[in-house]
Amino acid sequence: MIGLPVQGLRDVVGRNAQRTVNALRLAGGLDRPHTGCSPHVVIWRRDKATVRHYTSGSGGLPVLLVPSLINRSHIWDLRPGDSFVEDLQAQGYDVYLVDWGVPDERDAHNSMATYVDEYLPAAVAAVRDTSGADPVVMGHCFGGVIALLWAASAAEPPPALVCMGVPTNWLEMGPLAQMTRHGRLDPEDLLDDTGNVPPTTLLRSFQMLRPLGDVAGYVTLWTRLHDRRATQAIWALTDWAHDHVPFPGTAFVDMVRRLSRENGLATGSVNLADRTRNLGDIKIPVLVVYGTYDHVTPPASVMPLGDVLESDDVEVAAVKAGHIGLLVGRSAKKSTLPTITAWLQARGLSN
Amino acid sequence: MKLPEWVSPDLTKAFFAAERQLSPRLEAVLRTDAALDALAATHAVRRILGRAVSDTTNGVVEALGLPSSRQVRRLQQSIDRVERSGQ
Repeated sequence: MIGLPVQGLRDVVGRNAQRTVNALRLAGGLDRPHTGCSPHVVIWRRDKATVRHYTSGSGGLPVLLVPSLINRSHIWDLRPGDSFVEDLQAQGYDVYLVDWGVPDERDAHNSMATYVDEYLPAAVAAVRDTSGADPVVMGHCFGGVIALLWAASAAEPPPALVCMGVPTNWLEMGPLAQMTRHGRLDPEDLLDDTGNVPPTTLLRSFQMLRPLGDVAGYVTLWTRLHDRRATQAIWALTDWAHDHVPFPGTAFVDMVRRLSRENGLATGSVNLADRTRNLGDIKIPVLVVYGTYDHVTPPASVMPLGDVLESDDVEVAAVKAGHIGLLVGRSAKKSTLPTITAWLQARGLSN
Repeated sequence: MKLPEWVSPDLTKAFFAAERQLSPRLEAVLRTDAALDALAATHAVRRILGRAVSDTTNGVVEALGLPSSRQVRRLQQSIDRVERSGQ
């Protein structure tokens, strides 16, 4: 009879001892997860932007991944075993990733057109030169916006476009978008001395979306701290989510004026650098993916993209995931990736 | 009488139950006009104070004949312009 409580006590002590050990290892930097470490080479570079080619794949149809501007690109290749890049390679694709780098004041004058008309076309051309074929382009969040606007004006569009969590109807976006849209703040008010939006401002705007999100994250970390693998997974994601990079000021001002105030993507036309980009001009197959639990770009903001596009081949797919769950974790592996690869295969875009 | 979900001897369960109740309310509050006005005003005040502190600090450092961050930034900008024009 006494055996049971003693065993229970032993379990509790053992678990807490393991928690303490794991916490100390993490705090001391001895057991931090390695991120973004799939083997790759840089095949193109301009200013801060680069294109990485992941070399452990076996060739096949090239896919170019386009991340958002506000976070680091390694979310696509978070950890060994939890990597969108690895999973695409396992499906036989030849994977390339744009890395926008960390902007400083020299990049403050980069407008949205800089990314849409200069960097992305050059990155696509570099992939074409390396692989010998036009890549399928997959964009997440603001990376998807850049990819969309480029596809709307490109002379040589990609064979297909995949847009994941792309903010389209900005009336449905979070508090920062509401504050800047209604004139409480002008976008210029958010720029620092370098002319960019500082990472702390971006972090605070994300924290406003889920005020208790950080606390919930740390409680989750505490509950799983005895499990080294789970701890590493949570740490990698938490670290990434708090590690924003400066948003180039001119591009931010463009974003607020063109996308938020004019709600350009929802109306189907966006004016950049004195050129109107009509989403109706995109004639290639497009897959729009949204996360049903997405707090950052909620379904109500993403779904209208399917209606604005006039291509004969547009599909809107829901995935049970949050904004980042579209790219990492079980939801990415079990839902996002199968959805995308099945869609590509149905269009003959596989190996 | 059924107790609320967040009344639980398991602290983790209690926390997440409370979080599920509280989060949507907090999120809704943050989207009200009053909250957005308050956030915008806080940002404006912080910006003005930050600029005043920065100007004062730079002024003091320059008065002492030392290079201030403002001067270093201007110098860096000049170097960047020269670099760009040379490319």
